[in-house]
Amino acid sequence: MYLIISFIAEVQAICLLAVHAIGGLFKNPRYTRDHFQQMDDIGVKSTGLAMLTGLFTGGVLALQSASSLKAFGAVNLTGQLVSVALVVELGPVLTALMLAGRVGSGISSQLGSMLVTEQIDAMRALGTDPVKKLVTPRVLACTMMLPLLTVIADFFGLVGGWLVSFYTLKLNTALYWSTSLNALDYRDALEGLLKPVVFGFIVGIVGCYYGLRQKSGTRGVGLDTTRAVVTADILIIASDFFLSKLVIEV
Amino acid sequence: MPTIRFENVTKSFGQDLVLRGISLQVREAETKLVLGSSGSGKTTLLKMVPGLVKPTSGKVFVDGKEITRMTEDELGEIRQNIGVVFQENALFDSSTVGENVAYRLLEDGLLSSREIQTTVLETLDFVGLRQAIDKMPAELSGGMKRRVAIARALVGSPRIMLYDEPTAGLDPITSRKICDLILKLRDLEKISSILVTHDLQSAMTLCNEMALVESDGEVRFQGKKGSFGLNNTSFVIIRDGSIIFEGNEEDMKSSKDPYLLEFLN
Repeated sequence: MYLIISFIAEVQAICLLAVHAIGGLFKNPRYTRDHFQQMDDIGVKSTGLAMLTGLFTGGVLALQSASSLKAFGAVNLTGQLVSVALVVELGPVLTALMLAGRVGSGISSQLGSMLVTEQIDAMRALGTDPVKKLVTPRVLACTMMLPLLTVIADFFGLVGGWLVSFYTLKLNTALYWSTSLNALDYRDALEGLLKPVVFGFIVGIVGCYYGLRQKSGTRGVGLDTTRAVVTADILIIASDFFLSKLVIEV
Repeated sequence: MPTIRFENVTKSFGQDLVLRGISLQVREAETKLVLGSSGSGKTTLLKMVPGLVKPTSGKVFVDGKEITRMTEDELGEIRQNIGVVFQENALFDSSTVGENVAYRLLEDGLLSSREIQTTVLETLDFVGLRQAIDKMPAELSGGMKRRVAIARALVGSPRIMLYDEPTAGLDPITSRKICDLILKLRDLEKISSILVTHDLQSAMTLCNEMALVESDGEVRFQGKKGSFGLNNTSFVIIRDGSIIFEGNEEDMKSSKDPYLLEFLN
């Protein structure tokens, strides 16, 4: 019972923080510099990670699906399997999980350190709303940058799949690209871009929530950073299931 | 009208009762030295003045306005008038010294960058750190950080200053410099303040000396004459969340309370 109550309280606190952070978008002063700074830190600096995640995921997808398809003599459909699995599921989910690890933990530990060194109190004492100054730019940056990173991951995934198809499966290049691109329709693209918007928001808000949560000392910062990543990961996987179900039913 | 007034304030964190029925007044240009061992609730008391911590019950008045039920937006106006020097300085470690000191002005966005620059330099001159303007907080020594923290709190000419352990962890000479700054603010700028500390030596300096401006414009510090205590500085001693003593140095030294005697020795 206690667990359920504390879980509900936690969800409520995260929702309140989200409302406050979104409200911050529409009030002066606007911290434009902080917004761009966060987009750079969260988005641009994660491109390498997105590329590598995509490349190897695409490669392994091609390898594994080819070995299953071989049983049916349908190895030349490899491109199709790689592209659908990648764009709809693995691209968004894996990129989001990587972002939760790289950025969610960073946000949580940075805000947590600021909290325990009283920098958050100092900010409030100097007349700043810390949610507006710290949370809003981070959540917005995550929400906007994750879809872009996912597109990069998807593209490099297709390239990874092609590399494997071409060099180890000896498939024709034109065949690979045409089957993989023809397999996608608008619904897949929509699903593949809707998910990262939600996941990005989750990574940002969960990281900020655990960062700003009352804690004692650096041990608390470490614990809450771990919690931020675990919670974000679970929420990403769970919401992926429901989002997929939603899109399939509509 | 007292500048700061606590009316029967209590505060609990979960099961812990940190403050039990505190009533306290700080008049204009007066300094209250709050003494007490660690964990006695001093910092919590201090943070209630700008509304960073809300009391569980009781009321806090600043400039005659009750701040206990104010929203964060309403508190913004009250906080314009309050400078806080935090225990660990709480400097923004990703910004330079200059940006830290300019923070409040940059937030308000009312002044041009040239005017901000002038104010920042003036304030840094006051604490004697003009040369450190482009340094990062991590490059500074403990005493310099503390002075930057004071400078940051002073920007915007607050009428109330709150110091949380301003001399903790500093050598006697640096402590003395910090005390001089506090004396200058009290005696020359007529700022009301609450100073939380367990450094008895600095507390004695603050209640025994005063800052004066000489005819040549130099600031001089003078010890009190005779047995008159300074009437603008008095002691408050907190133990386990309650005030056990309030009064001047003479009263404190003549007290027979065993805890007080132990604390003073």
